Parts: sequence; structure tokens; C-alpha cells
Amino acid sequence: MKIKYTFQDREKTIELEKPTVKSLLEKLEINPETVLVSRNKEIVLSSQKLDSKDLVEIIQVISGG
Amino acid sequence: MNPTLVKNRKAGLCRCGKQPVYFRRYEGLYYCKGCFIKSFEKKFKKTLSKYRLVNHGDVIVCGVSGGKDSSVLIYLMSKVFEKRKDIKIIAVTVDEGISGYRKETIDLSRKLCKSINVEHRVYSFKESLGSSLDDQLKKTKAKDYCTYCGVGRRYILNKASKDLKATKLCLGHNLDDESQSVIMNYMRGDLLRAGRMGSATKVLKGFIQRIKPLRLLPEKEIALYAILKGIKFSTKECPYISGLRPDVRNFINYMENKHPGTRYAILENYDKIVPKIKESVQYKNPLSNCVKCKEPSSQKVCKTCELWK
Repeated sequence: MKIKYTFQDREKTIELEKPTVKSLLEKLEINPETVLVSRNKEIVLSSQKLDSKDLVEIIQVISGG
Repeated sequence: MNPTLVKNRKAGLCRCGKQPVYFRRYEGLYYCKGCFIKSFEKKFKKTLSKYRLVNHGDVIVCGVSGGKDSSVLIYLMSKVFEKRKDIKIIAVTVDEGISGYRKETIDLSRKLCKSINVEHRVYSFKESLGSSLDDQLKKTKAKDYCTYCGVGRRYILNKASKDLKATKLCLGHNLDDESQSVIMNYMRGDLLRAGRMGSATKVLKGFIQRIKPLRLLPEKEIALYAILKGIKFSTKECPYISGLRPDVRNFINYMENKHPGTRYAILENYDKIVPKIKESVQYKNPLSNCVKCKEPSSQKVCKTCELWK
């Protein structure tokens, strides 16, 4: 399934066999400790299933400076 | 344990039975929005009371940068102490003069402080030290950006606190920052600095005591709290970030993901051994005053004057 997501102000699309938050982060090689994920503006767990119509945002919450 | 709690946990629900927004891996518990906010605020208040960080009559300067940590810090400090007429809270933002970075965060800090009715002041590197960070780094061609910035920021926050007659300087250092500092001090073999860490610094003549009420809260949870409470913060990363910290941060994040609770373990172990570290550290030079700026220093000329004046 194709999932649209936003990360670091860029909108992208990714193909996921198992469309969940966990598999999205794994495929993008993002450490889940460093981000929060929202689906349709609501913060969700990594087990959350995703749909092609969802508005997915990966929010980087751990940075420096 | 209460059978309903066990049933809810097995079903992937919050202890109250609601849909969760967060899974606290180091506890193995799910939290709905309301229970997460309650639990977060409880931890914050517990740190304040356990280490007796605030006392009757305190004037507290909070360093507020506009990032998530300090925004949550000033929000909670004003919320916890809003009915205490004997305690005054003032927000101070340091403008280092980093183009394309600091302006947005100053605006966010100003708006937040206005919305929670907290006095807000801005002190700039240019006015206090004679030059912005951008200009100073260009002029000196220095590569140790964080040293120039950190030394300048500490100087200004301490001086601003004294000018405002503060009794405490409250900073937004979180569990991630603190666990990183433990490992960094260990890697550098810097016992002197390791002995100075903690929820509250030792009271030294010329320095305002620093307190860190967010010390036991993970950075990710601080961000989640800010989002759930609608506190706007900047997610921009400082363009000058360099040195050992980013590497240590990545390493600890990797370990935390594989072994939840790593950060707490690092800090808890450090807190157990810190009295022994303090005992073993010998200060080479007693604290006196810098011959140039008269601020406290263990050297004839303090680090701020050495780098900035």
C-alpha cells in the first residue's frame, strides 16, 4: 500500500507491505525514540495501522542545540 | 495488581480503559491523553519536592529558548506556582545572534510568556558580550562553536539572574541531556564537571544556584506533553551543533530503543556515585573574581573574557 507522509517539512510517498507506523519507521530507518507520529492530526502508537488516505506526519522530537 | 488494569494492559489500553496515545516502554504501560498529562505533571512536581528545588520567597529566572524543553518548563513552573504569591517567576531568553534560527524561537517564547502572564526579558550576546555568535565565530575562525555559545550563555544567564535579584536559575535540561552529559564526562575523564551535575547545583558565591526540574523526564515525553497541551515550540536544530554530544546522543538513543530504561539507569547509577566523585575531586584553584569583568572565576581571567573580550 502507498502511504503519504510528511517528515522534516517534506511530503513523500512510500510503499509498505504491512502499513503500520512501526513498519514505516523501520523502512525509513528512523529510531522510534527520536520521533512522534501523528495520523490525521492525532498522535498514535507504533502499532497503529495506516491507510492510503491518512495524513501521516513524522515529528522529529529529539534534536540538539 | 488490579485485574481490570491487567486486562486493559493486555488489550493495549490505558489503565483507565481509554485508547492510548503513548506506550511508555520502560514501564510497559499504555497512557491515554489525560493519564499521560497527569503522570507527566506528577513526575515534574515530584522532582521539585524530592530535591526541594523551590523555597519560600524564591525569585526564579527560567531560561527560555523557545524549544520544547524550556517552553514546557516555563509553562509548568507558572502553572505549579501560580497561586504562590511568595514566589516570582521571570523568563529570560538569550539571543546569541544566530541568523535564520533564533528569531523564530524568540517570537515563540514571547507569545508563550504573554499567554501565561509571565514577565519575559531578552538579553543578547551583542549587548552583553559585544558581538553576536555569528560575528564572533567569523572573527575568531573558531571551530568549537558550542564552547563559545555555552560559555556566553552561562555568563549572560548568571548575570541576568543577579541583575533581576533571582535566587534560582531554572533550566530545561531533561533526562536525555543529563544522561548524555554523564557519558560525555566519563568519556572525557572530566571528574570536576561530573561532580557538578545534579538537580540543583551547589550554592557558590557569585553564582546563582541552578535547578533542573525536568531532569527526570525524557525528551520525547516533553515533546508529547507540549503537543497534547498545545504549547507551540520550535523544532529547528541549531546550525552550529557539533562536538561529542550528537554522537553520544545517537548512541544512547540506539541503546534506549534496544534496551528501554537505559537513560534512567545511566542517571540513577550516576546519582548513586556522585557523592564519592564530589569527595574525590580536588579543586586546583579556589574561586575568586576575574580581573577583567569581576565575575566569579577559578582562573585569573574567566573563560568568558578569554573567549569573548
